[in-house]
Amino acid sequence: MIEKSKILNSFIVGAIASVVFIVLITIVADLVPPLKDWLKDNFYHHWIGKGILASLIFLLTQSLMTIYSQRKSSKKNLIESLWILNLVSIFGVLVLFVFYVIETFLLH
Amino acid sequence: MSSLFQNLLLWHIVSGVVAIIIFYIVLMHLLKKECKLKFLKRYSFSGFVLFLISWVSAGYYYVEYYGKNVKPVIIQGDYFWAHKVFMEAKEHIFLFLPFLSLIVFLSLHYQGKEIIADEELKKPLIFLTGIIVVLGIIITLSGVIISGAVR
Repeated sequence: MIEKSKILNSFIVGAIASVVFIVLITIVADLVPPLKDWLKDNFYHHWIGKGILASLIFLLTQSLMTIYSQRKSSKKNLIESLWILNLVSIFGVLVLFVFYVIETFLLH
Repeated sequence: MSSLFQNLLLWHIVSGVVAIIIFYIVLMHLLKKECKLKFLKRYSFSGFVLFLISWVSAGYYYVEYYGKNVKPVIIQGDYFWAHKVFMEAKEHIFLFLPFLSLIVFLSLHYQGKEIIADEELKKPLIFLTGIIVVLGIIITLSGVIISGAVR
């Protein structure tokens, strides 16, 4: 039976991957119009595409980590993963705000 | 605006604000020395569900109404930055919240007893819950700025 802490750690890593993905695809899709068009064409709206893809990345990362990770999850791993998620979230928010300020006032 | 979009906007705001209040309660409860796990699990799960409701209702409103009717008005006005900075950042930061709130619930679900008993493990979860509350407030205030820009 897979230990609960390993399942939880996989979910946290999945959330980290999703947050990083949202930040990256948001910036790249704004700078590379064909990517934004691809999201619109395939998911009706770029925002829906980002949400669906982030959810898929969350589930896929969690499943792969749970199935294939050989490492036993310890208390230390959980603490580290939660702090990484905290840092990635704060950094992601700052990056998005700074990006849109630059794009609005400096690039146009 | 049709009554459907009025209702969706209302659902988005009410469910989002209630979710923020719920996570504020979870945060305050986590800060106590003695926490009731059952209470924390129920509250964090309902907060997660409310963020999902807010996500879906806002998504439909944003895609079908805002983009076609509100966005062009703001962009052509003096407060174009309200959309270009605040709406753009808000709509993408909003994508974080269901994942972060789900992690709070899952942490309490899978390792609740250990988290409550261990300060070292509890600290990053308290921090994560605080991030959810702060992001929720930032998103709400951005919504207020955007509404003001339309007028």
